[in-house]
Amino acid sequence: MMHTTINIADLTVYYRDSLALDRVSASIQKGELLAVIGPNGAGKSTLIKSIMQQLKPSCGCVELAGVNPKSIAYLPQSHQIDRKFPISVREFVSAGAWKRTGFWRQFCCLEERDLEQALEKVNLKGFEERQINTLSGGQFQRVLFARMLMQDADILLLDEPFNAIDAQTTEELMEVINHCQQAGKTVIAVVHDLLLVQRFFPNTMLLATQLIAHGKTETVMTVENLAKAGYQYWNQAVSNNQNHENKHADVTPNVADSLNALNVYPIADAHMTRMEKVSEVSIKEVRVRTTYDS
Amino acid sequence: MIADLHSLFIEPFSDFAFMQRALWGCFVLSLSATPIGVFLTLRKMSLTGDAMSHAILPGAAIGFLISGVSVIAMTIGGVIAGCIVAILAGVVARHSNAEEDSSLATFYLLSLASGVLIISLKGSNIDLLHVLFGSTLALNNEALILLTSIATVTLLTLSVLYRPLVFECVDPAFFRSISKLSAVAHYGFLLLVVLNLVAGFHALGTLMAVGLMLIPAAIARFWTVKLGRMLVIAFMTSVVSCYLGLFISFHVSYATSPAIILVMGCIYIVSLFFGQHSGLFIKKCTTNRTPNHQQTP
Repeated sequence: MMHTTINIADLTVYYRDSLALDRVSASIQKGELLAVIGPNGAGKSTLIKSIMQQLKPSCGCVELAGVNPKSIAYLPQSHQIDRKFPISVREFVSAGAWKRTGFWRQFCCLEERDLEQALEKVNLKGFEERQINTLSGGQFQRVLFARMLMQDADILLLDEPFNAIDAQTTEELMEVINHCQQAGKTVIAVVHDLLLVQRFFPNTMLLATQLIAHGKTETVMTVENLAKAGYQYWNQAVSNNQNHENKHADVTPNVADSLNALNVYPIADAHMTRMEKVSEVSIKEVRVRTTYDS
Repeated sequence: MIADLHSLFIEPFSDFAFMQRALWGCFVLSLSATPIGVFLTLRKMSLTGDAMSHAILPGAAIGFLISGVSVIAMTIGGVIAGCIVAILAGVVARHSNAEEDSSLATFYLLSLASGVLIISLKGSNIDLLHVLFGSTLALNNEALILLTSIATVTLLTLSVLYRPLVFECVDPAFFRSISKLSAVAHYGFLLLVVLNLVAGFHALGTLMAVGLMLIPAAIARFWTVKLGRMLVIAFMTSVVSCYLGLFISFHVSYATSPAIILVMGCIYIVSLFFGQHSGLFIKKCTTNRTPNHQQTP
């Protein structure tokens, strides 16, 4: 039985004169694992902030059904964080327990245990006393996940959690997300890597200021929808492919190259068979990904 | 020999009440201004602090114009002017296309100019010197009580705001998501900055007040990577420099507040070369070592 947990109705947000979100309506179910995709400036982060009730919409609203707004965990983009600040991993992660500790209550053994477990889940055991400025990008992302786990919230909002993170870390952190979803939490993540979305996220929302599509990933990530969202290179790729008679022979090595170059899939059997089945759509997505990342 | 040392180091302070007052004033000022300075530097707001320290000048000058050299009037004027500029700077940074640093620089030049102009309307050059460089050796009871109460308020507020302030510094976006205290922490902190600058203004003058805040904090960054230790080191550096500055200005009769700031400057330069963290010498050694150092996830 599915409940709606977040209901977005006609949400319109302006930043002064520029329109960030235009009449977006959608409902998100409890326990959903949703990827929010779209080109830069499509309003993805704005949507996340609106769900957290941090922005005043110009029109429309976001309703949380049966969820305390305080029970939302947020994982910000890592470039917004001052990573040179002299603070240890333990102190940083403990910010996740704010709901319980407030501004001066002490950590009791319960929180200590939670903290230990959170660090264990992201494979950072023994890093408690390290300063955050000594961590690598991947390690720091794990710390952010640990803090999010500490929050023990019903809704998890992740803003670009996998940017500039290597494949191994992405896999492990994706597993953490899956665990959360299996525990009944609603997970909404802004993701730029369309291959990753296709692989891990059952549901997708495609934004380009307006809502282009929302639903099952395979129905959302179609040629038409992605073109509508402004993924232009993708169009080019399509027309090129259509000009080729023998497109699969031409195209498959191309994809494999791109995938290898991007280090997206660890080359294992399961993935190989997947790659052999790569359709036109995936090829285009690879193109999209490379152009957007570069 | 011992007697010599005693007469050199202790006697100026045991024999002269004005030296005791100066030392006490500097001590309480170090107690409250250095933690504020540490947070200012960590938030990369050193320039903001500098601009605000000049901004209190016109306010204090108007207080001076109205009721002469009166601690209360100058304090009230300073606090009001400081708050106005703090808010203006925030508004400008948020709502105009101008770069924050250039608008801050504009603000502080304007305030300095108008402050000096106002004082020269009524006061003498001596008054101007007092306002610009402070009167450490002429702190009266009123001023000492003011410094001590500002220090008390600052320490109490900081101990309450400590956690929100740290989180607000490290990850403001996240802190906004978990708490509505983000603005409270930010503006509460700015208010403390203004209060401490006004306190510093009485002791060290408007040009040097911000030095007591920022230089010890900058020194502390060279010696530790932990926030708690940073606060302690900054405080100790400040107290030692104040003592040495007073000591030098007593024996050689140099102007006091520049002497204090220059002692800090010497410690800063030593730290710059030999500091354990990111000191120039030490940095070389560690960068040579890092390639061998393997990090595991």
